[in-house]
Amino acid sequence: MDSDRLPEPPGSDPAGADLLDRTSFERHDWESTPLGRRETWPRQLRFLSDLLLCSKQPMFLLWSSERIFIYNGAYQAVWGNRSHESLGRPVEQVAGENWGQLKPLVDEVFGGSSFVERNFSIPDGIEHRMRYFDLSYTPVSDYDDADGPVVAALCITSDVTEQVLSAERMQQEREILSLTVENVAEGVALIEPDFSLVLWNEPFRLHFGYEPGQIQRGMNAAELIQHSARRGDLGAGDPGTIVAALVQSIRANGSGTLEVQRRNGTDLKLLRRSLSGGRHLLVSQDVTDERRTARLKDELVSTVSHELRTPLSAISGALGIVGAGAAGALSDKAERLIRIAQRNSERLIALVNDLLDADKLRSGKVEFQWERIDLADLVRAGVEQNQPYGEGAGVTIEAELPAERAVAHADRNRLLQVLANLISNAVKFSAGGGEVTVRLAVDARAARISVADRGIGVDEQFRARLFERFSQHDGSASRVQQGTGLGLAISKSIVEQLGGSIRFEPTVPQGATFHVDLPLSDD
Amino acid sequence: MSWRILYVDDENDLREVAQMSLELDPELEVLACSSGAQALLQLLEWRPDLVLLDVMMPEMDGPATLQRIRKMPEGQDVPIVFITARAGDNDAAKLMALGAAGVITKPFDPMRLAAQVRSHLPAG
Repeated sequence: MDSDRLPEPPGSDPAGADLLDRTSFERHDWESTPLGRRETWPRQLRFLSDLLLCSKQPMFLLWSSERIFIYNGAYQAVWGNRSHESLGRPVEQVAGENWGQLKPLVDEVFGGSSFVERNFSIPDGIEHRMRYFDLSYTPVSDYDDADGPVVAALCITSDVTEQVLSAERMQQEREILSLTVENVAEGVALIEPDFSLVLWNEPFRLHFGYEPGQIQRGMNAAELIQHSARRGDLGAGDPGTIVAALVQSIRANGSGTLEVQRRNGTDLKLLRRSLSGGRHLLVSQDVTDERRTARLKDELVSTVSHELRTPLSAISGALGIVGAGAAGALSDKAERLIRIAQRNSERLIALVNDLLDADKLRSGKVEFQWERIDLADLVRAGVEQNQPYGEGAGVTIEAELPAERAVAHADRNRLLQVLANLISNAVKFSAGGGEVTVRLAVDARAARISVADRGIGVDEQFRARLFERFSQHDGSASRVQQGTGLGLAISKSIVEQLGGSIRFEPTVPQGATFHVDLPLSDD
Repeated sequence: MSWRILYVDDENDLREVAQMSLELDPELEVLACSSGAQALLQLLEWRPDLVLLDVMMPEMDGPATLQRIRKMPEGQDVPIVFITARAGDNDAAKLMALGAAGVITKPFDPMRLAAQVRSHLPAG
């Protein structure tokens, strides 16, 4: 649609006059128009012009075979033109070069047809955008002779800009949506509240192995599910039961994920999500490679564990027997060398164990043995277990326990592992003797176990990476402390999976303190 | 009093070290073999008081060997202790569920291995 074919009320000074109203209409110089003075007008013309003046709806009228152009103030407003110049003049003169296009339309109305021209666009002079109008043309018969000729064409316009623009916006949004949906790797399907499928993309079809054309817009999504279930693509079992369960799960509110393995071995991850208006979104991801990688990694971890531990067992076993003198007496030198070999095989074993442990903790494969634990007992046991190590380094380890009883719901052996890590770190960094304190403090809801040393402390730059894997204080060649670089990362994983937290704080005036906070169990 | 311990492991070096560790206890008599199939044979011929069984072995692994032993009339009551390099809480629990008397993890302490094995022998 364009604005070329409508008679615009022209004017050299658009802002010069007021919009047409009854007063200015009556004062108009009608005598210089073909219609002559208003008193001489036919009754029907007077009636029609009254109708126009009363109406807030933009309207115009083409009167008689001369097609005299009469309009109202609202119609002027549409064009943003306040001139009265064209009022009462033949439309042929007013429309100028547009008349060629307008004439057939006008002739049609005068021939007795009524019709609506939709979404006619008119430029909005102020904001450089288009406004849209529905133009409703009606022939008006002589009211003294209903079967007689058409005496006028009446055009009522209504502003449909908002509808047109919102339809355009919706169309754009739909285009963006379908572009997005077409260009993602995930399969996407949108299901209406009545379970009909309204939107899907190619990955969705491919993920489930549907034939091209098998998915039809508006089809019942349950049919597709049924098809997949019968093929055994939604797991083993009775297809009817599988379909019912899946349909129910899609219909359920909220969101969820589900994993299925198709018969061809493809692993699919399905995300379902309820949308507003009772619609459901299904997103499918092909996770075959991820699952295969995870399986391979599990196998690798298990193989490495076996392949490293088996020779290490033989080495440490043989060294153990020789070192204990059970294979005959050793010279002093030989004994010293055996100790070195033993210490280092123990280090390797610890590294393998820590690596496997860290991996298991990271992948959430550790099953915790949850029980109620008296934390004072735990701290005492932890200190006792690590006492020999402390003594070997000339470091004393002391427990400071509160009078109150503190009980946590946790895994005893795993907490002892954390304590062993923290205490052995503290001992290691208490160069040449010193004191390590393991303190238990309790408040209403939580317990805090703090392991503090007065050793060399932790550099400012290193603090941020303290709990990362393989981060070791003084990573340079000059490093003297031994360790796997996994102790703190493992400790953090354990404490967090037990519902607690761990953090570092410098000891004043010197040293490092690690705080383990654990929620107390109700009692 | 002496006890017969049948040790089954496909790793030659480890088998030798483990045998020497066990033999530090003069009351333990040790026969080592390298596969589940040999273990079944020795169970019949040598009639051990306890079987120490590696978990990961080619062909017939530890759990499979245990199940075969249990199906033999001579093997229904003999204590079977697994020795495994796959240490993990879950693994140990699974092995115990198969009907093992105990689980020892590798690397083991050679000076304590005999004592660990002894704790699973029938009283007497």
